[in-house]
Amino acid sequence: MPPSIPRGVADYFGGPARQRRQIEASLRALARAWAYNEIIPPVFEYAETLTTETGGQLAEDLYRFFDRDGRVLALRPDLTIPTARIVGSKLYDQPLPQRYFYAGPVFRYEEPRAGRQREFWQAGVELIGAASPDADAEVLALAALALQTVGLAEFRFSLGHLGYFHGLIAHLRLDDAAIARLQNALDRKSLDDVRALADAWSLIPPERDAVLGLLALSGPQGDGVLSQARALALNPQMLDAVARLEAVEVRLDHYGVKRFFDIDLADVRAMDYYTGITFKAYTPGIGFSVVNGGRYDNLVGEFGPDLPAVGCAFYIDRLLLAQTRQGGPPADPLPDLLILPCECGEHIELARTARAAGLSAAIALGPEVPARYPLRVYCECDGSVTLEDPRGTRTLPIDDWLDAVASPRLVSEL
Amino acid sequence: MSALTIALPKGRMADESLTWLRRAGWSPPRSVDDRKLVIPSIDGSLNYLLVKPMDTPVFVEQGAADIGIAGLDAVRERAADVYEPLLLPFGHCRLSVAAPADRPEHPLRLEISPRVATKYPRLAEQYFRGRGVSAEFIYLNGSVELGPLVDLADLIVDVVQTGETLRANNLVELREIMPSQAVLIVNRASYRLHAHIIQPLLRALQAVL
Repeated sequence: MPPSIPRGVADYFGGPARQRRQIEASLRALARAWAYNEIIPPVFEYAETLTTETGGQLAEDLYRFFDRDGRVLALRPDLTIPTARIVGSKLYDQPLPQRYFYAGPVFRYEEPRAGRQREFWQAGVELIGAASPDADAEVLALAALALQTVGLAEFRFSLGHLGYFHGLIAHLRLDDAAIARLQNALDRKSLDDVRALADAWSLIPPERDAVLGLLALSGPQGDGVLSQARALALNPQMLDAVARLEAVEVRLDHYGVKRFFDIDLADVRAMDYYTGITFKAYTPGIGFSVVNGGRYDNLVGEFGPDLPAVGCAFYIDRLLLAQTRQGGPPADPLPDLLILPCECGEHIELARTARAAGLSAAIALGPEVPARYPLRVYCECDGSVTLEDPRGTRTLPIDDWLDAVASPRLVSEL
Repeated sequence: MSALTIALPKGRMADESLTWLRRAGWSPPRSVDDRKLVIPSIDGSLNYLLVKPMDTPVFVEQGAADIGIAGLDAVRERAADVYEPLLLPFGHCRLSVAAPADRPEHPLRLEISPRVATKYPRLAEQYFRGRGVSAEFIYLNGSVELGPLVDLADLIVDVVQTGETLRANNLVELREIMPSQAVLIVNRASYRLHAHIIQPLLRALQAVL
């Protein structure tokens, strides 16, 4: 009997394994172009590090275990907290702002859902030490560009600001249980439940209007959502949130990505550490968000001096699923060339030169079925080489074969 | 633009769902044939799926359907992560704990390990554990009322509409776990991606409620 595997992990091989690495590589290259440098945090840390006050919601989902001294360790549930820990405790006095990119597996003990096992892969960016709307817009624009870069044909972002909701609950002086109920009703976009709460709390205008109006503060940018939000705002905190989103909106327009963004001020579900803008992105074929992000101005301060920060994480497994659902399953990766062994042994030189030229080449070892490979290379042991593909064969001098093979492919990959 | 998919619960809630959707001007299905599972609407803009009531939330959560109509009981039992923008005025019932009518007067919290037959394992477990009672759950797919009659279970957790079925089987309702009614649910991604189609549909439906 084959060994079973634990719930929540998956094996990747063939086309999907390559595709995953390609998604990761294109995100890394894009981040590099935006001056984000890679940071590589450890896979496990002390559990207490990962359960700071501002990361409370994740704490329940931690994979915990003991080290030999009896201290509790945990697998990282995301890469934002470890990045904040590294910057807060070590890099705080380096020039600001600091821009980081990361990619790797994260672990959460929760029910596996579409495209998300208990071990799943994230890539992301964190922009630390900049509090301005420019910083918010930079991360948002980068996220939108990233989804285009990985080839998603269609996607939409929802962009909110927690300050609006926080301002509202501060104004209403709600206790924690009441806040949780309102949050839950808003999170399900249940107007009936929100109305029931407003009735139960005997709210009167303008507070009542602000609470009932919240669910309508959702729609494309420039659709009047923000002016409506301004009209309903009850205090400076709520007004600040609107002003921030307006400032971000102007910049997104300059980046040429404004059309991808909807405002949603009733989106109040987010990691506990977020403090300002929050956003999610959706794409057809996946019922769940493929990107989550936001501003977290208090998290780095848990580990060192306070530093404002904004960032986002991409769910690589879900992007892979989206690519597959939108464009069909990835083909099994085959090498560019299959090189058949010959008497004189020069087939090894053929493989060496092909690989040095950046092609992937396999030397046939016996059990291969040559016809599976797009291009077969035979050394004729007389200074010539025969190339064979589905359309026919062609014999060339040994000095010319590589150019014939390599040039069209290299051009196509430029 | 591909058609929007709407999951409707098979059985008694299907007719009422369609009545309300038609009243709101949503293009109705071409036919309602119990053997067909996917039925296009007359104008082709919508696709209707007829699925088991308990499964509607799952179809919508996973994005296999963009919109669905389900009982709140099913949405909570499946713990579906969906938007619930509109409660609908039908399918009213309650999820309750019931016991044989001759059960001696005895508070539930003093039960040591009652056997509970139910179609709602998650909600039943939540209810009993939330009260510190470690019950033994017997998952049944139907005819839950039979449980106590044949001594398969001491209690049942099931939906009650009029109480007629309970009375017919000599059972009495002990506690209400939650009230339920039909609710319109929307997939979170679809809500965003197809807002320009979904919002007018929602407004039309809200206008006739």
